[in-house]
Formats: sequence, structure tokens, C-alpha cells
Amino acid sequence: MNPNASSTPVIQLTEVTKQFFHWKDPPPSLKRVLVDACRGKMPWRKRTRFTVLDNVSFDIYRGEFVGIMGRNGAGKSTLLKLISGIYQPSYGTLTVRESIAPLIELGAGFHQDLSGYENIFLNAAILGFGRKVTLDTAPAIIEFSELGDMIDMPIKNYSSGMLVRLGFSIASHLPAPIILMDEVLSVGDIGFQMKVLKKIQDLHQQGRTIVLITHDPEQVKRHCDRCIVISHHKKIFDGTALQGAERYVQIANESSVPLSG
Amino acid sequence: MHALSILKPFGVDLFCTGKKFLVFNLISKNLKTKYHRSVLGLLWTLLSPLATTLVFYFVFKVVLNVQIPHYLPFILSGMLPWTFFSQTILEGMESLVMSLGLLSKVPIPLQVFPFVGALTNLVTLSLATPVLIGAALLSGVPLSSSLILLPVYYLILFFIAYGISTTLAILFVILRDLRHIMGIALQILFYATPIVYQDSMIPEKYRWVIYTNPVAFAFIDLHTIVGRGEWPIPEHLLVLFAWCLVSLLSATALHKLLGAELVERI
Repeated sequence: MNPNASSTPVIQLTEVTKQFFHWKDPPPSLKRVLVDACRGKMPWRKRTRFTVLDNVSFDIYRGEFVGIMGRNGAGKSTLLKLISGIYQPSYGTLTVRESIAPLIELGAGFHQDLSGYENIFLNAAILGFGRKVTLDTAPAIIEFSELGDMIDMPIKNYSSGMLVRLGFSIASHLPAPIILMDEVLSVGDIGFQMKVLKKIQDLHQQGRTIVLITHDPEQVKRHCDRCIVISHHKKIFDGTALQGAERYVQIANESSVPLSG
Repeated sequence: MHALSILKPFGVDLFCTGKKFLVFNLISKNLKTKYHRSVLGLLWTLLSPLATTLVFYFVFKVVLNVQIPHYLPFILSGMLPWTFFSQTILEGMESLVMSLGLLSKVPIPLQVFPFVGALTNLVTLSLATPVLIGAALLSGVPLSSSLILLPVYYLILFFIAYGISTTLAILFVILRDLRHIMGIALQILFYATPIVYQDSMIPEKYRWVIYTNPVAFAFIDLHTIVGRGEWPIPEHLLVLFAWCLVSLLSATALHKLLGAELVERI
């Protein structure tokens, strides 16, 4: 465990279960509700539940760098959305004690016709930051993104590499104590990837709490303090990064389906 | 603190007071992309209400010879606010479903989207107001001091439209065929509101249409202020305030009821 980790957890999950409702087709419509009501049926009867996360508990402490691993569809992204506050738990309690920068997608809300500079403000506002913080951070963001004069051009003229560079620069420079990342480390060309990994390590050194979803066992081994493995909607491992990465490789190999990404 | 709590009925931050920077940035994005940073872009959005006004002018004044003085500014004073009202409702209704990409990746209070849409349209309406007053002056309507009430009526229409659009936006997530019904409903409401005609022209036995219509008094008063240059009847404002409350409370209630798990349903 990281030495600068403190004793109160900043993210606390206690027996969290998340279920989604699934509407049997056809989807509900006003017409259906009226027709069903006339026939004396309950309009919502065709709803079934399915469980995406089953009774998951863990605590994350300040300053920890936690990797979350699991196969596609295991429930990792749902877990991240629960911690971000996009979804609410169906059962159990979830407490988050500090503010979060959710990097589920880089450049959330970017608009094609606005300049890179204008998009910095839009994106920062969407991520929940205020005007002053954004103004203060903008120069560092522009410098890190290596966009130079291109920053005043509409982003529809950017290459996809430039877009992710800008997106990552915004997200990593805003002062959020907790950073959630969904497979955003492998962005840009090799040169920028090195810069990204360096930046992430810097953030970790500064004592920020980082939660990273990844499929790459090497990344977990190299950067994380701790690893949580999710399989079939349940937490099956919570421990050191090395053991967690190995456990993930093991469950990935157990299945006959070849490992994807 | 206590004075501010009225802005958050039942704990719902209806006016996005905690998200000012976000609201500002989203409006600025809308205005920049909608008008392409030009006056011509703004005029383009006015093309539809101006064309409709001319069509009604032709049909009612030229063909049917309706006896309403200053008929052009009369229609325009209803048509511009009506365009604001109906566009806010129709766009606001779809705003949540349209913003799924954002809502499923970043925690944003859902009312931000209809709120930003309504405010963007309010800016458009305000920028179009010189056209309206210009038309009234050209037509020879006396310039009245009652024009200072214009922003009050804009705000009333804003509150009613925002409340309705938020209510519908939440319902639209679940009931996707609402769009067709609202298209028809707004068309009926347009003709049930004194916009192209005067309320005094309605036969006595159909007066209830006016009294049950949430926005009728607003348009009657807009006609009085801009089309005739006179002061409206103060009692109308009381009725309109009541409709504002009903509209905003229905949005709050539905938000309370369905807001928490709405993103998962989109």
C-alpha cells in the first residue's frame, strides 16, 4: 500500500449491487401504455432485471493507485460509472468523500466548430470545474498538448491524435483529488504515450487517488499499488498489483474465448 | 441561504445554481455554433417566424380583411414569443435523449440540458426584440412606457416553457412516441392562443379556451403592450405566476420521482 495513503477511505463501497432493467420489446410508448391501461393491464409488466455488479465491497484510500481488471462485460465500466455518480447503486452504500474527475471518455462534450481553446473551457465545465481553475490551468494544458498555434483553430481540423492529446491534457491538469480512468492510457503516438505515463506517475506522486480500468497486466504491474479483479459481476480478487495481474491473466486464459484487447 | 432555498424546491436545483460555469459555457457553445458568430446567422433563425407572420398577414388582413389596427406588429408581438415558447418545449423535450453521450459519461444534473436550451432561446428572443419594436414604430403604434414590462413577460414564458420542457424531457426518455403528440398539441395550443387574432373575437361560449390556456394571458398582454402601446391588466400577471408555479413544480415532482435512474433508461 502507498505510504501516503491515509486512514479514512475516500471511496467506500459496501455490498454494492447494481441491477439494470431490461424492457422486453417493443419499448414502452404512450400508445402501449394507453392500450394496456384500457385492457386493464399494468403498463410496466414487461420489465426484467439483470445484475451487473453483485455485492461488491472495497475501500480505496487517499493516494492509492488502484487498477481494476476484468474481462469485457464483467462490470468494470458500470463500477466506474457508479463511483462517478452517473449511476446510483440498486442496493448497498457507496460513499465518495472527495471530488472526482471522471475520465470515462477523453474530451467529453467537445464541439467540432469551437477552437481548441474554447473546448478547454467547455470540457472543464462539463467535468465540473469552475471558471477560475480553468483559466489558471489553461496555459499548462496548452503546453502539455503540444498543439501550439493550432489551439485557436476549430477542432474539426485536428487529427484524432491531436484530439486525444488535448482531451488528456485537460483531464490530467485539472486539480481533482480523485481521477477515474477507463482505458485512456494508450492515447496518441509512442512519444505522447510516454508523456502520458510520466504524467500519471507525477499525479500519483502528488498524492492523487487514481482508479484505472485496463486490460493490460503490464500496466497494472508497472504503475498500480493495488489491483481489483472483477469476474462475472463479482469481485474475485483484491490485493497487490502483481498478484492481481496474474490472477487476471489466469481467468482470461481459463475461458475458451480468445482474449480481446 | 434561506432566500436561495426557494431556487431549489424539494432539493432539486431547478435553476442549476451549482453549475453556473457549465450553463454559461453550454449557452456560449450553442450561440456560437447556431449563429456562426454573425448577425446574419441570428437573422436566419428569425426567418421562420417572420415568414409565418407575413403569411398570416396576407391571409387575415389582405384576404379576409380582419379589423385589427397595426396588424403586422400585432401578429409579430405574438409570433416571436410563440416561436420561443414552442421551440423551447420541442427542443427541450428531446434534449435529454440527445445528450445521452454526455450524460452517460459525466455526472451532470439532467435539468441542465432543458435549462440551457431555454436560456439559449431566451437570448435569441431578446436579440429579436428590436425587430419587433421597429415594426411597431414603423406601423405607427405609439411607443408606450409599458414596454418595460416586456422582460417580465419573456421571463414568465421562460419559466412556463422550461417547466413543461423539463417535464416532457423526463417523460420522453420513457415514452418515445411523445414527439408526435407534442407536435399536434402545440399546433392546437397555437390556435387556442390569441396570437393571430384578438381574444375579444372569441364567442362568449368558447371563452373557457382562454381561461384554461396557460399562456393565453401572456399573449393578450403582449398584444396590448406592443401592438397597441397600452398597459395590460395587472390581474393577468397573477394568473400567469400561478401557471409558472404549476409548470416548475411538475418538473420538480417528476425529477424527484424518476430523476435518479433516468440515465440508465435512455
